[in-house]
Amino acid sequence: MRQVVALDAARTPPDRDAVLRGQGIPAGAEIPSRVQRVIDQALELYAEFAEPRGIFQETSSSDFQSIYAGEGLNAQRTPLERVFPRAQRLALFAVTLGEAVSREITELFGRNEPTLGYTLDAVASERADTAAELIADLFLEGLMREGRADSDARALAYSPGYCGWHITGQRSLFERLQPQRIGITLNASCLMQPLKSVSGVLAAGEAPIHDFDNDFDFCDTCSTYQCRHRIATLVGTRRERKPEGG
Amino acid sequence: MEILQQISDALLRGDDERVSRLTGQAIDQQVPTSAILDDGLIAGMNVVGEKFRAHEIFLPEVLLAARAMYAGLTLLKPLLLEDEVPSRGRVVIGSVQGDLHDIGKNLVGIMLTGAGFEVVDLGNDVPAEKFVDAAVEQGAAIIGMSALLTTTMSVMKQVVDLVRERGLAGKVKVIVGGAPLSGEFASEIGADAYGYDAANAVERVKALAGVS
Repeated sequence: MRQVVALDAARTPPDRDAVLRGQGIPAGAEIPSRVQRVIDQALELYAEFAEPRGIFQETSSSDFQSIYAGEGLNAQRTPLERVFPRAQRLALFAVTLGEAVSREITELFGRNEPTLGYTLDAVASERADTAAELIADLFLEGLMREGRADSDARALAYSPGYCGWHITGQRSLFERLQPQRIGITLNASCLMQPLKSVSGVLAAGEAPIHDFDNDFDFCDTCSTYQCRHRIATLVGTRRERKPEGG
Repeated sequence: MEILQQISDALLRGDDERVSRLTGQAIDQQVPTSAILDDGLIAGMNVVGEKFRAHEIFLPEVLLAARAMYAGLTLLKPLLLEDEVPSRGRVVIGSVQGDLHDIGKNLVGIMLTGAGFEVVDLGNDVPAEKFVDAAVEQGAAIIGMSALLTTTMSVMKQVVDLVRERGLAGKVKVIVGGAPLSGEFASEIGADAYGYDAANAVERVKALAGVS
């Protein structure tokens, strides 16, 4: 199964709280009217420039094993190496918001509009993650329609460059998925262009397969805690191990 | 002087139009340019920095203040040159070769300008030689590099090595930053400093430049 899809829902700007969180502003903080106006402008610009689209392609566990192994640079222990063998179905994926948003962000900085550029960047980063969630939903819906996934299955995205999956894994992933079809290219340092793009594997299965303790070496230097939020959403638990000194 | 306090207050509110207007008035009143810079604009940015570190304000407000600072500096610059007021220092910045992320680097550039430094922004995807060549050509005492990818961090070591090979160690100092970096990495490659975020990078650059 390979599908190229327009992700219209990702065109919708996120709510203001999400933008504020993306800028490191905690809930309930007093926001000056000047900053509020900048957020309004950034949301308008996002709606104007974003062109979200995605591609996914189902893959087998054995195929993914070789893609995941990549160039042999992954961490010795990773959550994904425990997740994917237990998944019912796997798919490679890539999503992008298109080049225009990234270009606008750069141009805003060039025009001495750093606050607006930074805010638009926060909006776009949040929407790129949302686009990955949307394509995970599409993958899962398709599987359920075809009766190839349990009704209580959940699909989550995992990406090279995070949680021990080395970023050079992008090369084998791109070779197989060919996201160039939706305008995403990879440079020599494994950086995707357009910048506001996300790629990786979608793992669909029962919610507990996505659960893990954050006791890996790389967790000590992680500042996102994104995995804790995702696991809490799926299985209602949020076991946390704070980094040393954190 | 009241007008300098007003400039500082307007800058804290991120009101670029008012900062520009008040700076113009101060110039017309023949307030010394160094006083407008130090006791108005930089004093205001110092308060912004303190409030940011105390989590009383957040990055968007710092950026609005930096933009207001720029509005005032634009008017002051020709006079600073005329009066030969020394700059706080020149800093060459860029994202290293292979890396096209520039938000972090841009934030550092804006905040360094706000702190009174002259910034030479080489952009992104910058080869090692270009950093060192630019520092020599521009007479910069500090090179600042940003990387967001583990695959591009090695370019930073190339720059540190080049600085040494060309006999510039001690004359040109190197600061690095970016999500995958750490203080340990900076030490390992022989960089002079590591900035864990844009505001911290400015503090580190000030320390490297020996200014408060």
